[in-house]
Formats: sequence, C-alpha cells, structure tokens
Amino acid sequence: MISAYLMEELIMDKKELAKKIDHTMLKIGASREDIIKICKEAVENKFASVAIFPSNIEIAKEVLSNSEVKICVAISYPFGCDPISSKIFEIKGAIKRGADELDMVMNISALKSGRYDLVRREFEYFFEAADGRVTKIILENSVLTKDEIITACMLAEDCGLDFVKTSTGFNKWGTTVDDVRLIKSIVGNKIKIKASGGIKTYQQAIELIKAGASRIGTSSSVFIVN
Amino acid sequence: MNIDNFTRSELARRMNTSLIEPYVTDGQLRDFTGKCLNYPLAAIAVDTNLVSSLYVLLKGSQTKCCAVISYPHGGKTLDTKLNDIKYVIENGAEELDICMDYGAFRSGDYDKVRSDLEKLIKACRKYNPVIVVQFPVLSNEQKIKACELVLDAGGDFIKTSCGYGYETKVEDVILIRKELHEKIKIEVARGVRTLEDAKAMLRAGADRIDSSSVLNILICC
Repeated sequence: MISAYLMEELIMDKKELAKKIDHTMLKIGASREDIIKICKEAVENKFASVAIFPSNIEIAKEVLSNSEVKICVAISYPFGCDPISSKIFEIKGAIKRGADELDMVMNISALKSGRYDLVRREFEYFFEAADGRVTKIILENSVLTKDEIITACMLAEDCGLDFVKTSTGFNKWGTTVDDVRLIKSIVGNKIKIKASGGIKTYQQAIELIKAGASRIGTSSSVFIVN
Repeated sequence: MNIDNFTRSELARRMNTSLIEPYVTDGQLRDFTGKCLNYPLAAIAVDTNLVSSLYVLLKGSQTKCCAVISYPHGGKTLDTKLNDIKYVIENGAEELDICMDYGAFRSGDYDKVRSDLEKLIKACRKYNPVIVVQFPVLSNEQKIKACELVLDAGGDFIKTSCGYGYETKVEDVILIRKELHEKIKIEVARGVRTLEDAKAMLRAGADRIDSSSVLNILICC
C-alpha cells in the first residue's frame, strides 16, 4: 500500500506508521516477560525500535538478534538529574551491551537556571559518547516555557543531535500537537522530532506526525497500528 | 516506647523528606532545606546531581544528606548504580536509598537480585544503605521474599516504596514485623500524610518515615 501525504490531510497507512514507532516498556518493574513480549510485538508489527531500561538490553538482544528492530535505551530516566560523568558512563555501558539509539533526559535544572553553557556541554558530551548511535534528547516540554523549549532545541541542533524528544512520558507528562508545531517552527528539517507521552490512538499519532514528528514513542503501539 | 509521648524532636528524628523532581533550582533547594532545618529531621533525599549542594546546606546540622540511586525505576545497570554510589559518596552523601532491580525481582531472578544487592551494599555499607523495594505492587509472599533477599545480601534496612503508585499500608509493616521480627529496619514511604498516619506506622514497628508532608505533620505535633 502506498502512503499519500496531502497538504490538507495526512493519510498514512498503519504499516507506514509502524515504522515510525518506538514501542516502549519503561514501567517500574518491567520484567523479563514484559521485554520479551514487546520485542516479539515489535518484530511482528515492524516497529522502528523497542524503548527500554539499560538493565533490559541483554534480554532484548536475545529476542531481536536477527531482526531490524532497533534497541532504544532510556538514559538518566526520568529526571535527568545525573551529572555528565554519570550520564556518559551509562551511555557507554548501554552501547557496549547493544544499544542502537539513546534517549537521554537533559539537565532541566541547568536550562531553567539559565546555565546554557552546562546544557551545551552536556549535549556535546552526549554526541561524542554516542559514537554514531542515534541520539534523542528529551526536553520534558510540560515543565518548560516556550523560550526554554526554543533554547534547548537550538542547542541540540547546534550540537548535532539527531532528535529532540518532547516528553519522558513519566508521571503522565504528555505531549501536544502545539509542542511539536513549536519545535518544528524552530528546527525546520535540521533535527528530527520524536513525540512521546500520552499517545494512545492512531488519530493522535497521525496528528503529531502531521505537525512535524517523525518518530512516536508509545506503549500503545499494538493498539495504534491494528 | 510510647509513641503518643513523643516530642516533636523525637518524631522528627525518625522522619525523612525528599526533593526529587525533574528540575530543582539552587534557590528552590536552599528554600526547601531552610524550612526543613527548623526540625532535626533524620535526612533529606535528593537525586545525584544535587548531592554536593545539599551536603553544603546541611553541614553542621543533625540532618543527613541522602542520595537516591536509580530512582524510581531501579532500571539502571549494576555498573551504573555502583558508579553513581561512588560519585554520591565522593560528593557528600551520608545515606543512600538504592532501588533494586524490580524487573529481575518480578521475573523471579532472585539469584541476580541477591548478587546485585551484595555488591551494592558492600560498596556503601558504612553509609547506611536503604534498599527500596516496591511493596504496593507485591504480594505478601513477595514482600517477605524481597526483605529476605536484602538480609541475605548483607543489608538490614528496606524502604517500602519509591513514592510513586499505591500507598504503603500499616498492615505491611505489621506483616514484616511478624515474619522477620526486628531483623530488618523499615522505612515507610508513601501513605503518611498526617500525624496520626505517622504514629500508626511507628506503633506498627516502622523505624523511619519518608513523607512529603513532613513539615505539616511536625507543625501539628
């Protein structure tokens, strides 16, 4: 089936949408069985990746060894309140174990305190430590002002990161179409957008993609594409 | 020990509070700590990045600087947790709340859980490590098992919850005291909002209470 993108209305078939989904299992106590289940679902539905804790990488690798589904790992999740040295340590360990993509929560306190030098330094270290893996920096839009979102996006773009991500999805912090539109208006095509947090339906996912997202993070992936 | 005769100070010494949010500015930390220092709280807990600042603010007081490790999911690898423990100790942590690998525990991988806990506890034994279990989502058998694993691993202090999700009940404390007597110390988290809640937990045998309502509770005392 061919997906048709029209200026007025985006029609995307569910198979195309699946390729843009990071199938997420980041709940407290995610067990071996939970991880195996989402990996199998990701293979069956051809999702882009599974998004998991670093402690679950080995389990995911076992199931995904012969598939194209990527392993996306949550770094310094959900508060981003670790020093740079800690985040880098975590990233390097995750890469060694098999991470393909890294979703890292930024130092939100530094951003809010106006310490853009620290934010920039952290992004630069993130880029370097990722060593070619896909980098997604999590902003947590629901706790930021518009100016803070703009600053963070510009710094992320400057530092060569691959994606800005709107939300951790933790504690019901979600994402809106307006968030994505705002980010798109700042970054254009220079950096990609992952929308995550509270995405439960096909319609929501499509609206976010229409607004400029090219990746969706959700735990409702199977429901959305079936 | 008659809980009803406790003075405000005696109660405060058995209480913790925490400031764990995605963003905490220096000013907020200072204000928060300033208010807490009106009472001899046992400890204030923060995430890794704030440990050195909190240590400075608490220096000279009776309140200890507590660092949380892999909070609240426990989903960091053992290596990362050990690295974080080293970091927070170097930066002034006097107590640590360490989240266990709940995923491995729920999968029944008890050998891994015990082995990880042994290493984590050994890395910070003299800093009074508290292992955060997740009582609200466990069966009674699992609650006891989690405590036994901590004891087997050389620990002696558990915290009932990371604070997200369901509340700890007085019955949980009664259960652990019944099965394990005084072998393990218990810190209760989530479920204590009022002075009566606090007293009920202490009467049931809790050793420490972590509450975000700690200042409101102590004012009533």
